Amino acid sequence: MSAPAPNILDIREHLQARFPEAQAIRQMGSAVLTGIPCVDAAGITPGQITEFVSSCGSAGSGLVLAALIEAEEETLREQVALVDGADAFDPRALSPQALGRLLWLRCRQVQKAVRATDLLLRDGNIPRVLLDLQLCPEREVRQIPSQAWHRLRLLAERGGAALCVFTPFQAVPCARSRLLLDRQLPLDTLDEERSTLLTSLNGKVIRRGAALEPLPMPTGMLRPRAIPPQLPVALAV
Amino acid sequence: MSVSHTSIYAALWLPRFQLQAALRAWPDTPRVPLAVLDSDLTQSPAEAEKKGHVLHANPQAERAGITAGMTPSQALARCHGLILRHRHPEEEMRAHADLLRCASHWTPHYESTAPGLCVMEVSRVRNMRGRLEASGANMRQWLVQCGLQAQVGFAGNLDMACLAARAAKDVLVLQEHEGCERTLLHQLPLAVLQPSANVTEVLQLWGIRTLAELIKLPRADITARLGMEGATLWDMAAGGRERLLRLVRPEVAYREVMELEHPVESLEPLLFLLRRMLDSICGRLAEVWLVASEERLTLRFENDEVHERSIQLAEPSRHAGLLLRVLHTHLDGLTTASPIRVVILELTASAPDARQSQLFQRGLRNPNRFAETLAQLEALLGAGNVGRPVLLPSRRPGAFALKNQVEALAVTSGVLSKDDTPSPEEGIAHGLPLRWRRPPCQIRVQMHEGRPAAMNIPEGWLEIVQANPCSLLSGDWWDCHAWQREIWEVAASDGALYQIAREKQGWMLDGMFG
Repeated sequence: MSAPAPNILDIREHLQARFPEAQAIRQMGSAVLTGIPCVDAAGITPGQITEFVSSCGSAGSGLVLAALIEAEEETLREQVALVDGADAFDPRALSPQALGRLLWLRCRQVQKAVRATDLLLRDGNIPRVLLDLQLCPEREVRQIPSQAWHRLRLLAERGGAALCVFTPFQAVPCARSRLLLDRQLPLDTLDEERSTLLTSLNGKVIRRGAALEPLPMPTGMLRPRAIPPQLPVALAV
Repeated sequence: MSVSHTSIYAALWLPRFQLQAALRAWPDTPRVPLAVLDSDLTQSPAEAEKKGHVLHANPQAERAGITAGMTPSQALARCHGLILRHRHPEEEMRAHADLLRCASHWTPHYESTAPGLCVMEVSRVRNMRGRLEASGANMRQWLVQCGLQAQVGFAGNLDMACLAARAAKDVLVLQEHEGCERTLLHQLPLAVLQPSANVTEVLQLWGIRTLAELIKLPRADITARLGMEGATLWDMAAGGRERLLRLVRPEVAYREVMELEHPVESLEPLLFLLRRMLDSICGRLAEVWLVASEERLTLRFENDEVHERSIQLAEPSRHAGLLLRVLHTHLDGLTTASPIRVVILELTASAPDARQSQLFQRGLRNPNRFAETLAQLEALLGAGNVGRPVLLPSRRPGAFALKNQVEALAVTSGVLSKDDTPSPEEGIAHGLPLRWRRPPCQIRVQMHEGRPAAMNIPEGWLEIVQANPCSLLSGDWWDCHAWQREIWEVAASDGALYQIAREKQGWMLDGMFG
């Protein structure tokens, strides 16, 4: 009697065991570094979903969203799409350069926002998609079925797009990582510089699965903009 | 002037052109005295009676004494049974098109000289030199089949060929050594040269009636008195000018029209037809190394309604499958009240894009697919809700517009155009961005010592624990849409930071900082 044929998981494990360096390069090489400590700690990875949770209204999720639209990966400017679930985005918050490469989708219903995100990810032309559900009615956000999130994750994985979701509570079951912003910011912050605010943002990063610990970055993959040595965030694995 | 060894010109002339066209339009007209007025169908009979003049009369009418230039009253007074017809511009265009089609059967080198007159260069037509008269007869025969009577003239010069056509009974070949025919040519009336009204009047006063009488006058004197027009007329009468043909080049249209015997009611058969049309047009485009930059679809329905749509392609292409997908995306969201009877598809041809990819910009992987996705998104979210935001030069809330992303990509996406330049905004790099509440929400605010102390938003009453000093904004004071706002940034008891504003109609909740 012949041995059973190996399935795809066996082959994948075998390849990982045989070529661990290649796997490390694939994972770390695709990570997007924004220069924002808390965002880089959460890790925005192409092909995955990152969730930004802000349970209280003014904890800085809008600031992170604006920073992600502004962020350029070195000199390669990318098109960014913002699926605005509550039609709340203020274009005056961005620089003209960032506006020039932003595709803004103004939605009034959560269902339509999810459908629009689906279309964008299916298209595969936009490498960074931001879905803002922060001000959407909580009831509607809870009604998004988990299959929809899984479908979005698969589409993102297939097209290699980084999907960032901004929610008022933990709503994305298949997010690779999650940044919880739960500190209310005082009124004085409205006068502070954004760069200062971004570095002082506090939060908690939750990652999915133990196998996703930060991997040692290979020498050839070092980037000019390094992550600060001490992150002002608490890592909860 | 003679037929030289290097060039032969043939002129096809339709005498009484407007009359012939009118007879083609009304073929049942009896063979009685008939005249065409220089009025058209848009004029009422009373207007035609007042303003119209006889343009052409048929031989029966001419025998009754009707001549060009008579008023309708004069003509009717001369001939009781005279039938008066208006001009028929559409039929004239069709008759002239038939004339040009006849010329195109002989040579590609022809010009549309005047209504009812066409000149062609036939020097390079094989076996033409020895049998000019027979060829002329063939041309006439071809036009007779179209219902047109023509006269054909051959000469070694453009203008002389035109004169020969006018002097011909059927076909006239102007040879070098035949003086009698030149004499015949010079006996033609001055009207064949179509001088302007002023010049005609002057020449009539001088007693000049024919070409022969005109060329007896010294050219220099004619030029001194009648200017350039006089000189041109003298040259044409004396032997023609040296000029080139203004060649007619038919416009190539990448267009397919399909009239359906059985009207189409669903999408599938329509897509099948469109695919066939696209295959045909794309094949023609491929032959000339061109691509399509725009698709124009016209659908005519049974209830005579028409649907037209122009779709700009993000990246020019002649890939039929891709072009069909773009049409499919558009048709998906289309509902009609009646079945489709006629389908017209036209592609705008352009040269393949030779643009270099940008050095510091990542391009789209598939621009056409992206354009298609944008169309789907627009169908989902509504027009005006998808695009690239562009700030308008105003500080009024909502002073922005969304531009088509595909058009934005067609221009250099890294460079902002002049109208894209936003007004300087000093607050960009400071504080938390505002998330607007759209549509705006009216609230109630309680004031205490000139500052907001509590506010009633849709979620309930909130105590205002801290408020920044208010800022005042206004604009458009020069017209009726003037606005002014008193803006407060406040921290509420729920821990969130809000922006509220007092306007003429009361307090508004602008949104939340986040």
